[in-house]
Amino acid sequence: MRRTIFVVTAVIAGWVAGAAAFLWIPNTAYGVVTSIKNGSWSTSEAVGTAQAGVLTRAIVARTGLFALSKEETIYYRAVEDSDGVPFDGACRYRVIGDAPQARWWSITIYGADNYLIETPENRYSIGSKDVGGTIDFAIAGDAEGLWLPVADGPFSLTMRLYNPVAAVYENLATTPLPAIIREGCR
Amino acid sequence: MNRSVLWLLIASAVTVPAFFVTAWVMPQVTMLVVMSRLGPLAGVNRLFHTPPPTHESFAVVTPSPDLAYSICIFDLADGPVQVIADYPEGAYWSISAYAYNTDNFFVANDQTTDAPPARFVFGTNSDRDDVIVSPSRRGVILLRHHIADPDAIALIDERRKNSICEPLAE
Repeated sequence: MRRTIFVVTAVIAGWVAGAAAFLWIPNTAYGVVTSIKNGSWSTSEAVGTAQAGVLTRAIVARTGLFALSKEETIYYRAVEDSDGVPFDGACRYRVIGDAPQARWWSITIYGADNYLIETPENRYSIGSKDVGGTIDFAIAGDAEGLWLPVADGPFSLTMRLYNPVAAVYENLATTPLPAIIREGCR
Repeated sequence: MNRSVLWLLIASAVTVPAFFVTAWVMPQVTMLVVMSRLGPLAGVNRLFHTPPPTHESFAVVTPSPDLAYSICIFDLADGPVQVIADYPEGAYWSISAYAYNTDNFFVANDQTTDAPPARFVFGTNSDRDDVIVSPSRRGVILLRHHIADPDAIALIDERRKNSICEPLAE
């Protein structure tokens, strides 16, 4: 009897530890499983396909459910600025670069829980409907001109490229993407 | 061998498989949660139109605020389901279907289909030529309408109210 209890408690403890280890993987793990890095942005060839591995499918289910294949939509996600420092809502950022080559695109800001952020402005994204061939906008608690409002705390950005040209989805790691420059913090 | 060390060895041997089993079930659990959240509103084998997502939208993670979604939770237990979709021409529109493990097994958009209304039939076998075969009995079909400007949602609503998702009458 004591031997059974000994084994069962060890198995239960091991099982709980394994499950907890997966559930405790932070959102930044997306960058680990997505494998393709392009500046601050990361993505995966397999997102939205049956070829996705167990870990990729699981992380995408947590951070970007109902994704599409890269020919339909490319999802780039960023959790850090161009210097590799994690985003902080107390800081001010500038997003600069050329507009991606796609039928339409958008950059959306999410809180640490992967849902849209409540701000006084309730503006959640900037995209091809707002700018022409050049991207230049701020992410800050308050700003002038074209900007995305952010609340205190960590956040992430998702850039969606709908119906991208082949030169983009065939060169996910090298296609030009906007830089995210930290300008200062409170 | 010290009993504490043996206990830790057994626990450690279980930890790695438990990690991957949790990862494997995560998509199915996530889909179950989404269906349980949307089910009371959306029903099964019928289309449910949602307004543009805001910070008060918690049904699905990372929603796009630039899209108006229409959702059909499908169950093919009693046979094929058809979707007839109407949408404004000239703006991006797509239909995508997801198996119960969240894999995207079908997608088409306004540039790859005939002019609206567009018809799609989903089933579990390919006995019919026009059936898009789903790898699972249950899943989710999403219609995405691009909200290109604030006025676009009125036109989208006007057109998508004509769209349907329903069991296919034999």
